[in-house]
Amino acid sequence: MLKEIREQLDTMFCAYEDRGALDVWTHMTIEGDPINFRFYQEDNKYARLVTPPCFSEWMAYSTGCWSRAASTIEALAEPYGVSWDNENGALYIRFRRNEMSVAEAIMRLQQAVSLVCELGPF
Amino acid sequence: MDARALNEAIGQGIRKVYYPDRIELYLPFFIGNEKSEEFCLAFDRDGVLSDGGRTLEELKKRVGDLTPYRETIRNILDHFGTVALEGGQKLVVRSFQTCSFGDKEYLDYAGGLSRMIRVIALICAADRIKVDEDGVVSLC
Repeated sequence: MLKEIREQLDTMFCAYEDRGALDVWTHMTIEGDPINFRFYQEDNKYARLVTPPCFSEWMAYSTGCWSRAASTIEALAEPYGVSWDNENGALYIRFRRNEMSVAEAIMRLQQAVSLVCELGPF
Repeated sequence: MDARALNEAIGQGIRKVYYPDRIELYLPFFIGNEKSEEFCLAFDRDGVLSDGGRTLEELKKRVGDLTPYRETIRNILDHFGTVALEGGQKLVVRSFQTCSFGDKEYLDYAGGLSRMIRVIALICAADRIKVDEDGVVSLC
């Protein structure tokens, strides 16, 4: 049993390349759609993790109108250092590599996503 | 940066430690203080996943009395179903969803862990959010 668990955990938080981009596999899903995070290295100081396009669809569906929900989404995400991109319907965290580890950024984004994706209609 | 370098960077902060009788995961949770705290989540030899009581312990440390947050905590647990509170303190996942891949069936341990992380995230924020009986989150 532990062998099977180990095999599954080996893929959790695992980075993989997808058509030239880097994604981090979280095993998190919303209604069956995977919520993996895309990683961008902006320069040698800053990096960014962003939720996928299906997150915007989910937010539009669950809130009815994410523009109306925007201030609540921002307030829920802010303590984690996570921001809401209202144009793309995505949550993202931008961090300095020498101040925050990638692992910490993943957890912060995952925690913010956990709260935001349980919002109801606005 | 390529996938290998990113995996190395992730591995420095999300540790998985394998013992003959258990697997421990150390995850850097943000629980409202300045810095993230490392939480240990463990699978025992029977496949039971537990937080060792850390989530409620940390919330209690921060807010003192858990009484005002009991309803939100109960609603979170009812909504997510698979995560249970045992002995009034420990968050535990005992059963996992069965999935199939081709003709092979397997238990989704990683999915159960992901649900546990979501429950921990919500409970850690119980002093900032309200969760109703349908699992809907709103700001306090």
